[in-house]
Amino acid sequence: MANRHEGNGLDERHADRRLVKRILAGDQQACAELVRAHHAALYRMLFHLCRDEHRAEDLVQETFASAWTGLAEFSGASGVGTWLYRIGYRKFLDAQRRRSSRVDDASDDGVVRLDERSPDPVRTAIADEDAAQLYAALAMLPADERDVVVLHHLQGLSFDEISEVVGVPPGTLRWRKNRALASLRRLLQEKYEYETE
Amino acid sequence: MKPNDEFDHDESLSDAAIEAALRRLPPVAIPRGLEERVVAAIPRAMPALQRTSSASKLRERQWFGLATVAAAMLLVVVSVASWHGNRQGNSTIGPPRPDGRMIVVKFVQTKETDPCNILPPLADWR
Repeated sequence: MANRHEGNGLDERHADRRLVKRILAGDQQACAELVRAHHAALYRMLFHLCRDEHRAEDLVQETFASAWTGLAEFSGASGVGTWLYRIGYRKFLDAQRRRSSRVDDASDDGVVRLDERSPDPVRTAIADEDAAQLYAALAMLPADERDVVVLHHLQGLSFDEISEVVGVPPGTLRWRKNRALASLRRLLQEKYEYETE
Repeated sequence: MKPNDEFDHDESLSDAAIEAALRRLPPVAIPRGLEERVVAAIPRAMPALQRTSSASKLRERQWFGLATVAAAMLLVVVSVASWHGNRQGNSTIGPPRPDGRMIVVKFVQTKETDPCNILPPLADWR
């Protein structure tokens, strides 16, 4: 799952199926191999989506917990990585909904304030200032645009794979990607103009 | 990111340049010990349990399908037999013979009932 631009996707899929068969046959070592192969990419996706390392870590744990209970239902139509991304993405959306409703209940004026005062976690995780600025611009995108950029450019998924993860047609995703790039361009341009004034 | 750092200033921030910059972004660091924590949370008895439950669900579905097909076939056989019996006229099975075989006895009606003669004749009203 780490990078779909590398390696042969068909071989990866065969390897995934063999791994799942071993897990279903009771091979604990195969479970550890699955975790080793996919936990980092899954964590990175969830971190970029929720921008909180502790929440991302919890979501990784929840994703694998769901995967163990649902692995027997894994059809093999997509790669295990895409399947795990889908579970993780749903976990993220569920957590967002719960979180939003809690904040809504707590706020007096009905305005949602999520992590308003917390420092940008990406800035603490990324040493490179330029990269941190791009990450910061990415965080300012609307959720549907940001998700496509995270999954396509940062995680290396194809539009067909992203379509399986988020349940949106590939054509719509391409359109969202173009919109996201336009938004990023505008944000970076504004930042540049502000700094050169 | 300053456009003059990573991009050519004249054609700054083209889609291709932004996409390239996104792909070059350094990956986020993975928290130390995450892999060990996820591995430690793997349930010991999970795979066998899952396989059993999945297999039993499949068997249940197969049995349900078979039972439905069998019931439908039985219904068809009974319906055909009943229809066939009605067409062939009334028949019954005679008493068992000493050799254990059955004889089908067929009643053949020799005289049809005249629907006009089922009531007694009317008395002469005069």
